[in-house]
Amino acid sequence: MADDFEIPELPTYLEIPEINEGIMDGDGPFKSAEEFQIQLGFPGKKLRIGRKLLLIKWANLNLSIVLFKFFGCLCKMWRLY
Amino acid sequence: MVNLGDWNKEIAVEMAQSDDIELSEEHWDVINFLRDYFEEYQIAPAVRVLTKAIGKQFGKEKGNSKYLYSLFPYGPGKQGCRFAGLPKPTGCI
Amino acid sequence: MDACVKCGACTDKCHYFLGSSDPKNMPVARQDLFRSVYRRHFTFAGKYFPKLVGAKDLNDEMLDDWYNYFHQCSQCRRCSVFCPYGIDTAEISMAAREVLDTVGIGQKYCNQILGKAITIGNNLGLPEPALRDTLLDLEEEIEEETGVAVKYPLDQKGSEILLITPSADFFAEPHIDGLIGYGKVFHQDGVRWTMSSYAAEGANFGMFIGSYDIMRKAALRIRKAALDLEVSRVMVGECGHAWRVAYSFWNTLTGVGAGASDEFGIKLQKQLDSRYPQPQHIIEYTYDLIQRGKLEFDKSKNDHRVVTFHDSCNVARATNMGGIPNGQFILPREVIKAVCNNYVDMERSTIMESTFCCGGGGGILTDDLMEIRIKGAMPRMQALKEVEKSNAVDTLVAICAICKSQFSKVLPKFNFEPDMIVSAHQLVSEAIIMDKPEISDSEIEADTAKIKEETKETETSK
Repeated sequence: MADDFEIPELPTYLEIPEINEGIMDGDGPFKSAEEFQIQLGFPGKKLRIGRKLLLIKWANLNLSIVLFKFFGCLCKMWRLY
Repeated sequence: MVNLGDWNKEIAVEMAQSDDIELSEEHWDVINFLRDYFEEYQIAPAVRVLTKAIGKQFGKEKGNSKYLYSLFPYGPGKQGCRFAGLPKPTGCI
Repeated sequence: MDACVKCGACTDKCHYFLGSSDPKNMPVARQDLFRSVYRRHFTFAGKYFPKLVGAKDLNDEMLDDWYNYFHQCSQCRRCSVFCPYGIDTAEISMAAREVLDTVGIGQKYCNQILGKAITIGNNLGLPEPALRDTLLDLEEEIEEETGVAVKYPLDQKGSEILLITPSADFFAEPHIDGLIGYGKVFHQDGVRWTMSSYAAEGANFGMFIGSYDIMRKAALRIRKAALDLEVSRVMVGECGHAWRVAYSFWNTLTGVGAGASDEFGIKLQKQLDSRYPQPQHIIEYTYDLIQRGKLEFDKSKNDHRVVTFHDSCNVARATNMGGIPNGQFILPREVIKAVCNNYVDMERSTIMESTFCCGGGGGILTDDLMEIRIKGAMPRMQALKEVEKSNAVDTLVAICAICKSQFSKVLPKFNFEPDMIVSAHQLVSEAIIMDKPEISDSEIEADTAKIKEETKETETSK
């Protein structure tokens, strides 16, 4: 996997490349074995994407952002009055 | 390879053959050192430790990385450890 | 997430896009992977008219795309420097990786290493005897070379300084030369310092996978080590994101710095000496010693080199040094200039706050990602090529373990010498003038008598 590709030539200084759709598709690292996942407290196998579970997790991630936005709204309203 | 205990000399020879290397006495010296070190410390030695120890045991002219690279062209750490059946250490290295 | 106006300022700033020419590696497209899913589930328009706003379901296909492209980001934050809205793609890719881990598809490299860091105490999994053996070897080597007995203390209670350095410093080339440099500097200052076998790791991969909990788990080992060894200062070695974690997160994670709220954190805060910055970077320390004239250098030892400095992304864009604005750029350069005569900078748009990443940061320094690593290193290699042509630069200095490893692998692919990359403290180590201990005549006599006896013994045994 790691060996069959071409090393790019060094072109003149900082050239913006032509777009090559999808050239890096499929270039991901090896997936973690179960034991290493579990060790860190993550599920060992890929879950079937239960939307609820994801949403709960994500809501937690976004909670701080939402609170921040709410705070921003409050500030705006304060100014209006 | 799954288990460290599964390793034997034939496996090493076979692996070396697939890399177009014939294992000589010198190769075995390094491989045996790698395995001894691993048994003692549960980790493969750093390249610096390896070169120094080889130099101490087998004479100063062999205690440099050039000599080791001439034995294992893909790196004494990487290739040597593979032949010796040891896990490659991972980290910021 | 919603602030992006698709202006395109970030597109040509990502080294992975420049190197790989894949449009999905434009930072805006990387964010869009995340944004489209967020829109689908969290906005009114996305819920009911997904096609109108480009919202997409998080399905297996999408997860694969996430897995690939969020592991083609080194979280270097160069794009966010140029983003007019300050959108931080690194933060997004961290969050995405956390989601990936949560649904059970983690990356082998990061997770395996984190496991070792949490159970053994360092990323490499070096157990205490191996560590002690390596350090002893190092002591021997330095004494042979310089005639000065520089010590590398491990687990010494009651020392003043606890050095937390990436474990690569014990193991890899050229990192270990940096460790030799630290030791010499500490030796010259005459300070009592130690390393810990329990927490022999500065790097914290918890940051790369975006998990605060795991980051904390890894960092707590450092707190325990600091409390156990009763040190009054904690110092960080040359590591990019270790310094970011230390500088920005250690205060609440471990109590090094101000702001910890739990019992042990507060205890540690009381223990640490507030006259010094906590934590302190090794560069700050060396710089301070140079300023106070405590170190003497023979600059000509580095005359065979023409040196340039590679700002490591996490140090450059997330931290500070020395408490002065832009200190993180000034201090390392000042240290380098103090130890060598020939210094040039690379092109201004590729250093300091807009520095290009080495291409291996953010937890993608694994051999199975070699392609993206090499492609991502291209912009930095271009800049290096330029100074090589114009100023005959032959030495690249970095203060990050990942940068050093990445460059030593990647440099030969672009026709540079692999040993071109060195640690900043390697230069210090080469130029520093060590005080030799004064040996009395009687001691020399005793020594020579000993040697004579030994040679006799070996002769008789033969």
